[in-house]
Amino acid sequence: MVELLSAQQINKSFSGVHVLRDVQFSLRAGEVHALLGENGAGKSTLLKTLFGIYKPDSGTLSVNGQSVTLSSPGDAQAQGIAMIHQELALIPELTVAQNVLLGNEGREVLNYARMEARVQPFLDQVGLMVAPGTPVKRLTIAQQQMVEIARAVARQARIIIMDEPTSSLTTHEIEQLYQVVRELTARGVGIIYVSHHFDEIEALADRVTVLRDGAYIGTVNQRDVTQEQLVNMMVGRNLVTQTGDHNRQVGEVRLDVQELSRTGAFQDITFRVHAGEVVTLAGLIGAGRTEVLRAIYGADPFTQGKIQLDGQRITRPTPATMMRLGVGFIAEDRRHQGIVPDAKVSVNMMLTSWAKGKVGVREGEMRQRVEEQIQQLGIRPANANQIIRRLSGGNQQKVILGRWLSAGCQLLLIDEPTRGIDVASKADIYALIDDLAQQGVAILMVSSELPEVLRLSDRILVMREGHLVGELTRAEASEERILGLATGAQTDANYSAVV
Amino acid sequence: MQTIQQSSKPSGRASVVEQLREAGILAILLLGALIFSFTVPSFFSVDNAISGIGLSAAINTIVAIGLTYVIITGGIDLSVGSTAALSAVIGADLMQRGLPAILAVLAALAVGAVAGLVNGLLVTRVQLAPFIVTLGTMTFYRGLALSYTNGQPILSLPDNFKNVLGGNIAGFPIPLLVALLLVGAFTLLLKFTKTGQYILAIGGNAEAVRLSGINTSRYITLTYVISGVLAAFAALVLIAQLGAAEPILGSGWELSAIAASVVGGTSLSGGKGNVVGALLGALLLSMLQNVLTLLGVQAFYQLLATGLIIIGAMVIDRYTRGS
Repeated sequence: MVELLSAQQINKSFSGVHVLRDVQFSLRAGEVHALLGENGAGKSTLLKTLFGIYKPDSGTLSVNGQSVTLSSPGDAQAQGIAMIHQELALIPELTVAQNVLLGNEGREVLNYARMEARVQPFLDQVGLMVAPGTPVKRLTIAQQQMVEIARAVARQARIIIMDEPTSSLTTHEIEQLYQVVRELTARGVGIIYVSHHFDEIEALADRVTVLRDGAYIGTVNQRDVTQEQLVNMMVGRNLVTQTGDHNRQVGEVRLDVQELSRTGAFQDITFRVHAGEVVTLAGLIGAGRTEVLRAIYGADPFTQGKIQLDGQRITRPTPATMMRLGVGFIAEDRRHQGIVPDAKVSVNMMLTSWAKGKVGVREGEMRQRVEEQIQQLGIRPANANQIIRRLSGGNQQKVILGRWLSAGCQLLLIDEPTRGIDVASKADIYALIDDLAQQGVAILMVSSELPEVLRLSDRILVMREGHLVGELTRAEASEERILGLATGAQTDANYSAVV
Repeated sequence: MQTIQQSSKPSGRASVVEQLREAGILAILLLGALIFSFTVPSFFSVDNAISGIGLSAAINTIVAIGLTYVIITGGIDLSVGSTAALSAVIGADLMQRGLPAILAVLAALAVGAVAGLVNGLLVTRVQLAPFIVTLGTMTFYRGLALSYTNGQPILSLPDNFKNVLGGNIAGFPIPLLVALLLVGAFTLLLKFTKTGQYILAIGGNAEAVRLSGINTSRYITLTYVISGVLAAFAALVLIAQLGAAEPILGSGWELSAIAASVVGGTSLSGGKGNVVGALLGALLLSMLQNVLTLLGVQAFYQLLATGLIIIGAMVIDRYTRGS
């Protein structure tokens, strides 16, 4: 059988980091080929390579047996490849018909009636039951997704890449998507399907390719493997048991969260964090972990529930009040929500201390504190006047940690503590978090890196689709169990999952 | 597969809310006119309607059409007033040197086009922020206009030029007529051509349009060219009225035109806007100024009122969109 698409020995690195190593992937006509891997395994990079957004450093790509070079999404489209992006790429103000035909409208003067008539069959094909003249902004996310698929069909795409297409769909909508996918494959379209959800893979996929740490692990027929086997392929067999310092004394309850909910984001989240304890919210991207963390800090609102800090109820948290109450927060997106990129290290570090009135803005007043932190945290270069943008990610993160250390905090909320950070700094930051817990600081973190979760946490709370679905102590936890709970392959008897 | 056909209204591109919004401005406009005609003596006269409101609104509308196009892409053009002055003095100078008026007019429009092209290329090729680019050219073009004339006005323009652009057809002033024609033409361009729809789409999601294989830079540049040409045209209308071209003409035009566009429902964040709204916005602002002048209200209170209208329109916009 001629393969629709074949990628061989694909390599790609970004600034020295090897993101894809000798990866292979192939797609046959009429099949759904699932791509599976943990966060950071290289799935997105591979998809972007197949769609011409990234150019591979080496390797060969062929479409219908012909070797091709894809240097832009336009090239990929010309080869009959379409991609349904995770963040939908539609124009909200334009109609369904206009979006489907964008770039292929025909003559300069538009004939809307004709465009709508042209589009109608494609909408029928994907079962989208809205008038083609409806503006896209009035559609639900699921309908918008169908518009994207209709666009792919209208362009006569033979290869459709779907990147986590169900991440914002309801169960019923997912069923509809399945039906459309099956109709497409019945007509010989090949679909590359990325999902973290094993039930979807079981329902749709013919073959599954697993990536881990940028390496190709294998391709299997979906019917021949169990979920456990797939999980094993994803996490690898030889798990190195990372050890941290875990003879800590856990103290009083510091944070008590009860039935915290925000419509559409998270529901009935109840847990406690004690002084000197590291608790991690684990789960897949989009499970609602960051949203919970931000709601606790008052960065985003919540609709229901109760937050208590040291036994005192906080009715309407805002970052300013939480900061005064001794809560620190380190956001996931360091560049946009953490640092002030063009300011000095000293300014970045002292922002919170100024707000707390702990130190003045005069250089002399700050210097000693900043220099102490630079020494203690091992920030390189050890120069308080350096512009923070010029520091490596790891050193920037240390400055942010220094911000909260010098301001003093009793509860530290950290979202992805080591995202985009080199190995050496990672070890430093782990040691620092251990140290803080040792000193009695309560730490609540979100992390998508399972080794990191296992290395740091005293307790692990697993979230799935906005709900807490399980709790694991350090002794119980393993990558397989966390991933099992996060994907719904396993359940925890103590948590009645309403998911 | 079964398909339920929704009541497909003649795909009017704009949602019901937006149409209501436009109707709302029109209602305010008519209501205001009604109230003023009873309360303000001399407001309701053909003479005042045309020379007091119509002419200033006509010029503002012509400029605001171009700005609406630019703003829809998510850009801004602060240089329209200076572009107007530069085109006006060059056009007037050529007329004075004896060039036939029609050629001088075309030359002035070409100056506007080039000024806009420079803005557009700096925005799309050099990828500078539109605000900065046009802040720079605003000053630069003004400097060019002033140095071209040595700071002096160019007087005594030929009569045929003044009579055509400043004249009447059946008692209806040509500037107003031209403004209405331009509103019609640019409304059709925006709504019924690929160019117009790409411009709207770019404002909505430029990256998606680019990924659809459309040359977004070309369309963005085009909006700046349109803005420049229309600014030049507005300047010609003005100097035909005045009979002279001053290098300082057009200062503050960018602000009035932005105000008209925004009051008319164009979103400063791009992706949304319409030319008829700009016309209504310009009429509303001119009417307000006219009434306050007729009432003998001092100029600085007029500023307060104009400011409130602009902010009020933005507040309404915020709440009608925030669903």
